[in-house]
Amino acid sequence: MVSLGNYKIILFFLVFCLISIFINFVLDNGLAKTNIYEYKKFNDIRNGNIDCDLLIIGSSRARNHYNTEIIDSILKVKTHNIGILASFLDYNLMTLKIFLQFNKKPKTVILDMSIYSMQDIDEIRNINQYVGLFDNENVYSTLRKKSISIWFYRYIPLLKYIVNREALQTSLNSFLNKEKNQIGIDKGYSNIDKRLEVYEIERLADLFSNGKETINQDAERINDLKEFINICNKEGINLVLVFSPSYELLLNNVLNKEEVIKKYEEIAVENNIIFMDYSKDDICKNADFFFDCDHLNNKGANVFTEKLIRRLLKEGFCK
Amino acid sequence: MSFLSFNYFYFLSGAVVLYFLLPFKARSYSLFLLNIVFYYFYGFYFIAVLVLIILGTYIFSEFIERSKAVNMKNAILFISIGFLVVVLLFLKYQKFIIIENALLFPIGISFYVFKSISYLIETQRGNMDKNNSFINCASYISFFPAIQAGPIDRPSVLIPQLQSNNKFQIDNILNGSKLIVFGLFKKCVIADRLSPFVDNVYNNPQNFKGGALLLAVFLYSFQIYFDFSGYTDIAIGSARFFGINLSKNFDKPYLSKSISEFWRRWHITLSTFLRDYIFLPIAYRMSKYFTVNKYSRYYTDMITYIIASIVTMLVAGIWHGNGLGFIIWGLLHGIYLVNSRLFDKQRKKISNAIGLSKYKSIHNSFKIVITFLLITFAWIFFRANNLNDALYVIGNLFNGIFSPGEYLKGINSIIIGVDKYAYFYKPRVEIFLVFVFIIIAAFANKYSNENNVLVIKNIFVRWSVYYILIFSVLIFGVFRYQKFIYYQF
Repeated sequence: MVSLGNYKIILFFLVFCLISIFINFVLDNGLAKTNIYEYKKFNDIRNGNIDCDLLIIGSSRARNHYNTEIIDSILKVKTHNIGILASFLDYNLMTLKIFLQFNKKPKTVILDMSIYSMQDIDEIRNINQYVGLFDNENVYSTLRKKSISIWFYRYIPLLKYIVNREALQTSLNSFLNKEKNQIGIDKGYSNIDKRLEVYEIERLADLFSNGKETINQDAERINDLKEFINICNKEGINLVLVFSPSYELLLNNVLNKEEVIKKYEEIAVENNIIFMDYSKDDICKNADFFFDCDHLNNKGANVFTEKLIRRLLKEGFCK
Repeated sequence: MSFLSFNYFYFLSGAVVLYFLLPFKARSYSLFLLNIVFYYFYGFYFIAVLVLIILGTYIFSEFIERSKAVNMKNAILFISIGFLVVVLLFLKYQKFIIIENALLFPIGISFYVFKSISYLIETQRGNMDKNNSFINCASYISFFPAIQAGPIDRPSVLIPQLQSNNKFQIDNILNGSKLIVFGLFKKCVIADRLSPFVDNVYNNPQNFKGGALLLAVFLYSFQIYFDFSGYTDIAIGSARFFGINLSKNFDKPYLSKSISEFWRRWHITLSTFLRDYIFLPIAYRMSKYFTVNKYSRYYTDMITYIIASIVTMLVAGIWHGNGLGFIIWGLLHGIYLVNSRLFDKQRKKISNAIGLSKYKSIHNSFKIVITFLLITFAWIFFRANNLNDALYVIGNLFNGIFSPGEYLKGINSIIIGVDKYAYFYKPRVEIFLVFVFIIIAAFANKYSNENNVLVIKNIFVRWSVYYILIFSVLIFGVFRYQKFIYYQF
């Protein structure tokens, strides 16, 4: 027998669920209109707001290395940079898929690679940026493989905001129009005016002196790269793989650096696409061009972008 | 394990299921085991100290119990309390003796040592069951909902409940959950939202003056109340899940009309501990001495009260922490109590003379405000990182008050540098929001019964209050600190 008291408890929880769904809806809307770049770039993708000829996909390195203004002014094309913080090849594939789902396909895609792109990392880094996207199948299926929590975030209203407080905070501030202004980001390019300091180089040298690291080439990530290439081929998109510069101290600390880069080359040759390797470029030797070991500052980004454009023109892209 | 972690709620749920699934005879053992598991989250060393205290308490209590002569009982009690106090004082004050490799201060030791003392005194007084088992003593001292910061329940209150065959009742779960929600609201939505502003000022008071100092001083009064009473609600709510009622620790303390009333409403289990085991024994001994010597009754009563109050509050100060600030805080409260008693007649005369006593509500409000101001003043010594900071804060509280514009600018400066901790990028919105939450808490408190459960008859209003509390915790709660102010004592 269900007593009146038990009915009350059930009713209380029903109302609780309804309020949760409503608040979840309000917060989703807050996140959907935020100007904070990490969220806005996905909002732009989902709203089909990105109309470009040249699309740059990759991690935070992509975001810091490709100056869209320089590319646009020299090549006279529309460029957009959607580098996503702490992402690997599976995330790059996911980004391409959701981009093509909602936006006009670009003529050319540059996929920025790093020494770490083929690694398989179980944890979802910077999970807050995906909080508004769990209802998207591409995002859900990619993230769900990494954590069961994604299932709960998707189906239990409000839970994703309760656990991921930064997304909640961003959404609330957006809802109340109390957001911080985002500076230094133009069409996805993030302009960092900072230099890799000597003490930081010394600290890393000291850290690296403990032993070199070996990068794991995960089979699934290699498949992700192959799928990425297949999608571009199928859609008639020119694809360029670019290994953009990292500071030599970092690269030299990787025991199987050559092996990793050779793998990228092999895949590019197999699929008849261009692979541009800047791992031995002079930029890598100059600390003035970096703000940390794996990211170029604005000075480095400008030099690298110009070099890249010259090579793209030479290869016959974006004429 | 912090009450604010997800782990705690998994642990609590599992503990309740295990407790009620086991046969009655196995429950006391399982509860002790759960207490140990709970405390083990802080590390093995913490368990070692706890077990040492439990064993010491139980062995001494057995000696007391088996001794026939009163003098022997008293001597053993004296030695056993001495042992507990030495352990406590050593761990609290070791930094003054040992420069390097100081031992960690076990969370909650001040609380469970006081429970041990209570156990021993009640044994000596013959108020305990003669066949009390080790497991009862151990479960009483280590009961996990109360181990970190009380309440400091008496053995006569807790042990019979631990021994009884409690049945699983949905009402206990509901009432416990309500208390936990209210506790989380007080802690995560109010206290921890105030914390960055208070810390901002108290960590570097010399960077602030006037208005900012005054605001921080008042905000700390609210922070410590909502922090500690929030903790207590979660502790009492957790115990309620097992059908166990822990003692109430707070009863709207800031509405007290005098300092003595404040101590009947603030940290009630500590106050009654101090009253019963320190104040009254001192007063009793002194009154016996004075009776023998036949001094004037009024003066002997007064001297007794002064000495007993000062000593008791001094102990309260020393118990709280190892800084001079805590001792001054205790002394100040002692002086307040003495002053309250000494000048009671004069205050009444003044109230009558100016006609204030005719308007009872105004008179009461006036008393409440004065009491609150006195308490708030004493908190400065309690919160400041050292005596110099406390004196700086006091010396500069009203600096610039005659230039209201400058003074208000000072208030504004409290928000500088806390942006990264604040929920909203505009900290003024944050402070405003906290005051709205304080009003909600006051409303919920006003319409709660003595068990802190809302007693609003209209179901729509009652449920609305619960939904506001729950969703405020979920949306506006701060969960990054994980610590309560009283964990350090």
